[in-house]
Amino acid sequence: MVSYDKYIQGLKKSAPPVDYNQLYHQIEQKAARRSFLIVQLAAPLLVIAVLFIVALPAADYFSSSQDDGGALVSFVVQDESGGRALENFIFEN
Amino acid sequence: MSPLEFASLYEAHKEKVWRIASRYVFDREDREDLFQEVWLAVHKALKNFRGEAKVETWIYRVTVNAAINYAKKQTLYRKGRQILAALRVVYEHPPEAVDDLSVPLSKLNPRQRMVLLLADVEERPLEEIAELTGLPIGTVKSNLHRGREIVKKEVMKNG
Repeated sequence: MVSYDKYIQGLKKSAPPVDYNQLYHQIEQKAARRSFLIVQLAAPLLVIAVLFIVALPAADYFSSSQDDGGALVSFVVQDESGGRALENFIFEN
Repeated sequence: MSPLEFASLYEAHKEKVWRIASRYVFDREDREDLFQEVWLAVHKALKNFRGEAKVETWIYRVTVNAAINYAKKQTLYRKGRQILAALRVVYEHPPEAVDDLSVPLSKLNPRQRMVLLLADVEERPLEEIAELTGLPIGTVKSNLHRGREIVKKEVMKNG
């Protein structure tokens, strides 16, 4: 038991040598690099998000107006050219 | 968070964190890596620290979490390297010699080692260790008991 206590006392008193100042500077550099990395990663994502927010309603507006126009044109063409109805009219007369 | 706050925390608690980090892992590079991981975690979390817990307890918690995560990463990394070494893709370096005081600790598993360090070296109460490690108090006690037995045996063996 005495030797265990002695061993624990040894652990309390002596830790392997270390240069705290050097480690502090390395930690500061890593922390700065991490924040810079976060900004670097976040900036393009933010741009993509803004573009998406702006582009989505615009795309929706243009695509829906073209669809309506297209549908209207094809309806008029079909209706006017008559297809079968016109043929029936010619044959009947 | 002002740099001053971080600097003063570092000044006040660096030795405590180093004592745990340097006895939890044994390779010089690993010790410094773990020490830096702890302080980077403190740096990141400091703005969210609400002061509900004592700063000392909070630093211990960050240290324990970083150490446990570090041990997990090291285990995965070592397994990966062993596989690559077996396939002769990488050269497996022999492990660095462990200093005399760390030899008995190196015989414990990471959980036993952390519990023993907190209980006997840092003199934290068992309830706090349970809270810091997220283990039930019964598990803390059994790990501490087993850890002490192994260390005593090793200390006796090495004279």
